[in-house]
Amino acid sequence: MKVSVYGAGNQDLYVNQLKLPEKYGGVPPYGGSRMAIEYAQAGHEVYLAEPNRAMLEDEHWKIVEDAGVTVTADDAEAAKNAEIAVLFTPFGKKTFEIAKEITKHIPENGIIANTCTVSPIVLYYVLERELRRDRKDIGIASLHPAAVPGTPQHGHYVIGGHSSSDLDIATEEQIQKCLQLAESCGKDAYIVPADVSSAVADMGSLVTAVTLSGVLDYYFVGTQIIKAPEEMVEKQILMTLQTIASLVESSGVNGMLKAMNPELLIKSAKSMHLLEEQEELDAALNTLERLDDKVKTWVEKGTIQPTNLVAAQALAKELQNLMGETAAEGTIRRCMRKMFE
Amino acid sequence: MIARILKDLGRINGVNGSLVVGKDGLIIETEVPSDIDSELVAAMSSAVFGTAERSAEEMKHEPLEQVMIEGNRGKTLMIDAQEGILVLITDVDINLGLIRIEMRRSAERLRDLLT
Repeated sequence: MKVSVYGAGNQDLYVNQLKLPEKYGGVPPYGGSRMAIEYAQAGHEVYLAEPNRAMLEDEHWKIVEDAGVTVTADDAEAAKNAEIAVLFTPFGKKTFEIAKEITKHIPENGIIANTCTVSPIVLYYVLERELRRDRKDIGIASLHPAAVPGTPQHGHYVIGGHSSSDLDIATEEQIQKCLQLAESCGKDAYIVPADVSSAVADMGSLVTAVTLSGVLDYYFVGTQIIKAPEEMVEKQILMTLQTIASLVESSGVNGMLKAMNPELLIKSAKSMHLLEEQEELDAALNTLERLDDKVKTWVEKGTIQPTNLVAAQALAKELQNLMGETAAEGTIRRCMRKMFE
Repeated sequence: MIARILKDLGRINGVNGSLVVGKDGLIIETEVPSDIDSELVAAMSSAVFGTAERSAEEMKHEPLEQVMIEGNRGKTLMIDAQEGILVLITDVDINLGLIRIEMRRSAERLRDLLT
């Protein structure tokens, strides 16, 4: 398979700031360059596109090249040689520019896969005009390494498959190709809905894991102990998640903290300790009771901006009802795009 | 080809700009003055046309053919082109009959090009 990786990975961040070798093990180069090495070692024809030679030490570049990876500073050259173009670049404007460049050069039925914490659906929305007008054959997927490549924790990939909505951004064949690439490197591969991948892969999984355990705790207490109707419990969960999400969107974490008032939240949450064993709540209370001065400064700095506590699915249904499915889909897509612009 | 259709429409007296947008608001082709945000107009056209389509359905007037927004300083006309919407931005004083005939003709051609 022909694979191109974009972005070698910031070794200064990995080695000097995050101290990965001491804390997690593995050896540099980490990140995109390590992914390129692993693909080449699995027998693939690999390009690594990195315009900034300073990202890696000379000895690390030698490891990359000795593995059989072709290094280039030319994004177009790498795209021309890619069945799968893997973006190991920070999510943002620069990545979108590279992705747009790739769409001009990647061979027919090529795949552009992102690796970072934002959904491949968002990448699709950003590239939508190019993809729908000029390159309907290109598939958008994700190959989340779900840990820093090069560390022993990187034992699996999270691949964005068909989305939970009707929008398919890659064919089954293209999704399977990503799976084959991951497995050829000896990694486990998990296919999840494309729009869910960012929540269960990489840094998003931190928020998801803590939130999910809280949701399960409340669901158990609500349905099994209080014996409230399931629908009511689910609505309360939904209301809480929406409140947090909407406040973070409008006011940032600081504003959300100010609105939530951790001191008050601790008192209220303690009254929900209805069982002997509620480990998730114990852990959460323990954390919240020990918030340091830094967090208190965040609260002080916070401003609560005007916020619509929107039930997203209900709003989407209302839009569909008012303006029809296609116009509503367009509106939803533009909102998604705006969130990341 | 679509650009040609818009250029031809632009030659009609009183027409100041035109766009072809997908029903979802994505710009397919645009010929609008630089002081108009074509992305925004495309999104608004999709929302207006979609809402008008739904209204026509509810009032049992479907299928919707045209929408006109009439302002003191100009008009915006929209016509169904199956996969897309043809949008025309005009002066106030225009030969509405002539423009409607030309828009229908252009929409026919667009239907073939967009499918």
